[in-house]
Amino acid sequence: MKTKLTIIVTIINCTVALAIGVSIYSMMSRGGFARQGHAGQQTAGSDARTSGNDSIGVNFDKKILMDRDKTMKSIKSMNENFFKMKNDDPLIYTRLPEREFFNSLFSYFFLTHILSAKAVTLDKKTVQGFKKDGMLLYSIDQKYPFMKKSIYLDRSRKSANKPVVRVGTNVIIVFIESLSAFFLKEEIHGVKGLMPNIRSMGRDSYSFDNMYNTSFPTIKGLIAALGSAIYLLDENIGGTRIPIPCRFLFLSNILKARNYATVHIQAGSERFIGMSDFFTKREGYDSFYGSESLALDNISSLRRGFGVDDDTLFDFVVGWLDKYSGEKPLLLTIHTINSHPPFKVKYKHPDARENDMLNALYSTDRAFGKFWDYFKKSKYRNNTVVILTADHAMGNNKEYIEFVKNFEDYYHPYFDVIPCFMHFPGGAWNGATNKTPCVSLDLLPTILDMMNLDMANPFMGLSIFSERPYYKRKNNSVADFKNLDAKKIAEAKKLISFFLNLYREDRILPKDYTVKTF
Amino acid sequence: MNSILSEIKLIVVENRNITVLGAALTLLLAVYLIGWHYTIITFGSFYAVLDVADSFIRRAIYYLLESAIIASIVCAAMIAIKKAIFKKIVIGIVLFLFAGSEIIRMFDWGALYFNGNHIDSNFWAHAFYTDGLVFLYTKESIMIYATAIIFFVLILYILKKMYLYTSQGR
Repeated sequence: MKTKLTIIVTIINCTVALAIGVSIYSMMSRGGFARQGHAGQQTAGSDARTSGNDSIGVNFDKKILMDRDKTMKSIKSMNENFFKMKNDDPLIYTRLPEREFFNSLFSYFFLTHILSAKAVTLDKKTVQGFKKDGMLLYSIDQKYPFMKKSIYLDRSRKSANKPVVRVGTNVIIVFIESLSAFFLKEEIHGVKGLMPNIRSMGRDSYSFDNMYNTSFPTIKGLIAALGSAIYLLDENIGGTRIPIPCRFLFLSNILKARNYATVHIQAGSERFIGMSDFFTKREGYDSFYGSESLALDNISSLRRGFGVDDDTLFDFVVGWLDKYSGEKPLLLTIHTINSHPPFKVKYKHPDARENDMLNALYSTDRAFGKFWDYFKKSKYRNNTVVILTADHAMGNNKEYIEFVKNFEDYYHPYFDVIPCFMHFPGGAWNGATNKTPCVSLDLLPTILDMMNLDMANPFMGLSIFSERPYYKRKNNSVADFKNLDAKKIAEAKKLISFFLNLYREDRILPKDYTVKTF
Repeated sequence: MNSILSEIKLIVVENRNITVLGAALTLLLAVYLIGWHYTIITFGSFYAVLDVADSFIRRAIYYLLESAIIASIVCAAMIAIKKAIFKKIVIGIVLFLFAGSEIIRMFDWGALYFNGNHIDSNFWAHAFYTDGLVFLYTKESIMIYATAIIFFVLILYILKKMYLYTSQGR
């Protein structure tokens, strides 16, 4: 009796499942037919309209072209379909969540240890490959493979045609969170007045128009720009949760050796991945202010999103600069947060159509505007270089996709062209542009090149003025993970192990390294 | 043939409750599993389900099989096991696995919705910092919690009814 009942229950369950399956299939088929029918009608209409037209298959319909609304609708629909086909993997939404969860958990906690277990020495061919890309390996020391004698691979290439920054000039670097250069191109995306203050600063500066971010996310972006190093301990195999185990040679280390005061102010948390400790204990910063310090003035600025809002950040920056005695020249680095999902919106742009990413960018711009207005009238304006760039390009979030889907050519989540503006004391070089294809790794060597400072270093980038034109910009990844065969997988693993081991064993910069500029 | 059919009919009529509960469990699991993908595609992406029809149907078939198998195993266990304590253990295991799946799916739905990626190393990198807590009290998150609780209560209700029915022979 029990066996029979079990069998019957199983059959009934299967029948229910089958019935649901048939319902889903029929609904999908009806939807599919409806869609096909709609498309068919459009095609039929189009065919009818173009009959007799032998214009080699290009179905231009004058009636449609004369109707602006229909034309725009038709182009938009084509763009959207093309965008869907080309740029994303919709199958991501039908993967098994449990499998994704356990796979990522395993690789995050275990794979990184396996891959970084032992030191790897790269073969000559790989080293030559790096050299071709402008990265010199094993030139001084086997243990610290990136260490080299000079910021120039060939000192004879040192360019004289560049802005010069005297040592002792204040340096302020503003990193705008996730700012792809596309957001500044109002003439393309059409949202007028989205970032007027940053655009204005760009017009009054020397602009690098073709700089890609090397790294994603923020901490790796900052290390790339301030330390000219690729850091990939969380590159799908590990994580930024791990406090950064190694030391890089940051601009702050170098300028501190030249008697600079070094300060970092950010809207995000001081504790995140041990950033405060990393900056102050290893990278030569005297002071580090994060949301914990900044929120003391305005606790409500912690609402929604990470950290405090950028208004509070720049209010703090202005207040801090105002009070600074100026005994020592200053290196101040600033990092915003509004445009990090889940976006902090303080002001709404009238044309943003409730897109919080745009509203957050607009809010950041207004906050930056307060700082910029202050700076232009302040005691710093004639003895300070202000550099504005991004930590990285915008990630692939819903609001970004929504905004950029009609501009298919500009859809480059995570890695994209980022702005890099340099405003020199007194407005020298205003309006000049540099179109050299470069990466954010090049920022630090470029600053040092302008300051005429050279030293032994582990930098992976090159001065944009002196040497980048000799080397092709490489893509963002140290290993190409596409179209891998067994041999390529082995090579990629070896290369990743090489990098991971350097970080794990703190082999970027020798422990006894001291900055000796020449 | 007629005698077999009448016997089946008799068994079904006599055990109407367990058959209805088994079918309800299959239905609920299928709706829960398939609904997860349907809602993330509809609300979290700029695709329609029809854009991924082939893959969606394959995934749905997989879930339907899974639902029928799980529901049948649970029913079989409740019918076959006599001791109340073992029945409770079975119910406990089912609820534990279901709650585990719900927690994973809640986070993964949120990760896909807010960041456009499944739970990955980047998620784990941020998972243990209080900064990430902001994602836990958005409107969308509240909706997900409510949905997860409703499904959990419904599963609990069905299992409890199964337990009562098979224990008391009603």
